[in-house]
Amino acid sequence: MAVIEIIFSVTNLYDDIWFVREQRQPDIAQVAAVCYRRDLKLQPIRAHQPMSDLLMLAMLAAAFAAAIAYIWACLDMIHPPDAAPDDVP
Amino acid sequence: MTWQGWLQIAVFAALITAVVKPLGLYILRSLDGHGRVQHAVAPFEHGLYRLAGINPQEEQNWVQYALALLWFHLAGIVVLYVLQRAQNLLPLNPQQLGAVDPDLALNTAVSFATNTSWQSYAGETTLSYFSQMAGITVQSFLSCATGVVVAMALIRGFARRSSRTIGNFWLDLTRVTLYVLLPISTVGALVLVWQGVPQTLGPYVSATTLEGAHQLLARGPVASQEVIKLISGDGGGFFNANSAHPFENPTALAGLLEMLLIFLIGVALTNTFGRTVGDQRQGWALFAVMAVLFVAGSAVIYHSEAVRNPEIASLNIDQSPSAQQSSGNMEGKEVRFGVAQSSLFATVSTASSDGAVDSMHDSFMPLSGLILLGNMMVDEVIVGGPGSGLFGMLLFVVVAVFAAGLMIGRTPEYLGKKIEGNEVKMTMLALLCPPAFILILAGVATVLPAGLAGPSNAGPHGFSEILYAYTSAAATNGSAFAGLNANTPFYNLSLSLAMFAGRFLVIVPVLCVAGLLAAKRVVPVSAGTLPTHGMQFVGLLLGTIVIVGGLTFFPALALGPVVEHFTMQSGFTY
Repeated sequence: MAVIEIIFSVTNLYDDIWFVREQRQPDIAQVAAVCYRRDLKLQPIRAHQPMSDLLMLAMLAAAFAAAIAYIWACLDMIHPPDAAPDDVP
Repeated sequence: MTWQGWLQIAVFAALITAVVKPLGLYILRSLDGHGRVQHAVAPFEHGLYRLAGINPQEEQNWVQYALALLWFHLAGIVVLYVLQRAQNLLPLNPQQLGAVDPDLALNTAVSFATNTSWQSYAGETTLSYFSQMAGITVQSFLSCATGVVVAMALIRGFARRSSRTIGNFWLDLTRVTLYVLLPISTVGALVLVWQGVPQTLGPYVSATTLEGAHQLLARGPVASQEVIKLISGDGGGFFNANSAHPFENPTALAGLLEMLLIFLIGVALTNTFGRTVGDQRQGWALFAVMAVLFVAGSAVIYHSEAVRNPEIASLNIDQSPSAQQSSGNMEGKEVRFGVAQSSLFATVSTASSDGAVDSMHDSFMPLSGLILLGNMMVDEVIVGGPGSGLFGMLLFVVVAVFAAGLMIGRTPEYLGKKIEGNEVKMTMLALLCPPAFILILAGVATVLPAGLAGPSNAGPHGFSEILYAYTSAAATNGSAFAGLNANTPFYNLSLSLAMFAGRFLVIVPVLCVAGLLAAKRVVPVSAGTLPTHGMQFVGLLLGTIVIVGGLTFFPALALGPVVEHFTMQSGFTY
């Protein structure tokens, strides 16, 4: 038990725990089997093809373009300045 | 519940209250450049400006300030993205970890540049030491400094009269980093090393267990990253288990220190605010609101976790406190921390924007989950992130005085500044942006197959996992409820959007409010002026925060933790 606890705490096994839990009520032997089978050389579980760098950077550029446009949208919203003079109590 | 548990909460509250005043003064002097340390380091500081070609005397209006901030963080995200994609070609990679996948790299880059630190990855199996040090840690410093400088810009908005400018972004950023974050981080890292946190560039250590199996113990430059992870309101752990990992949080003293570091700058800024506007009582009023919400949240979570879990009780398992065990719901909690400390840490983590965890929030009782979500849903004004908590609180102040003005039929004022249509419009824009992204994206995730593939649990608990993820992202908290497999293109990209919007689409209107207020003149105090430093105003502000937060999110909370609580009482869990 102690060894398994230490393994849990130093490696990325939470996905495995949840994965096992999905199969209903894991017992400690099941969890331990997952630990040893993975041999501690874990990478995040991926079930898809990697996306492209270009797409990621294009999305980032679009997000920042939107944020900069948002500044001007804010400027538009506060135009014209408040009509009420500041010094009237 | 035990008296020792309540004592832990009380000691923490007392210690954090004690640092408000001295640190608040120190931050103010740091930003003004008037302290002894600042004078001593001034030549180095000015050398940095010359190197970067910046004129520190040149003040910026709110648009210039916002543009500088956006360009700076765009550069930060691109650099962090490239570092992750090319880490297999870069030095300090003793485990020879490969390049991070593009969608995960984007998610991580946005996450740390926005001070969220949502982690769809496990640090020890994904990032090289170079990526952790030059990428993650650097962004932790800079994103934290950004929160503080935005708060300072808003404070100047209240403090200045008829001014077109709100400060200089580059000057503010440099001073917060040099004089506030670096000194605290250096001292804090040494203390953590003393407590047992590793600080090494050596490779992972291989050990042979009693059963003869080989075990790889991950380590690295942990202490230096751990401190800024905490004071920055960032919370991204070096290890996947975050502060539950014995190498990140080795002792009870380290645990207490970590919680103090999380709240340190956030609470101190209330005093900096009071000093800057010339009335420290204003800062104490804001601190009082934070304190009431924090103590109430801590008490509810501790009570909820300390009472017996009915499902475990039905198995005739003893959950009462004794010398051998902590009482209550221990699932997902470290035995060495127990229920009280875990409850306190979870409250601190979600009331701030930090998101570090020393227990698994997914395993908390439903009512505790409700409070953890609520802490983040109120825009993280209960201390919040460094700076972001204070400017979030000041946004609620604007709403509160606006509501009070409507009730008494008088133009709202705060600190002598009239709160008019433009300020209220920008305030509402900032306050509505995170809820819009949380609720819309969580709704989308609950109907699309890609979203439904994430949660590990069915029913309301699965919904809570999804809702928590988007709340954590848009509130720039970064803590995970656990149980959600978020390392998929759908979650990586949609959470990136939530983090981006929750940070920058809030900061822009906040800076706009700062610019609008700075341009105003000060109205003299009269008999009709609403006092904003007394208990009456504290109550008004508390009501505004609870009602606005409650009304916005109550339907979503009813579908998640509320219904789960009642079904659990009926013996039905998910």
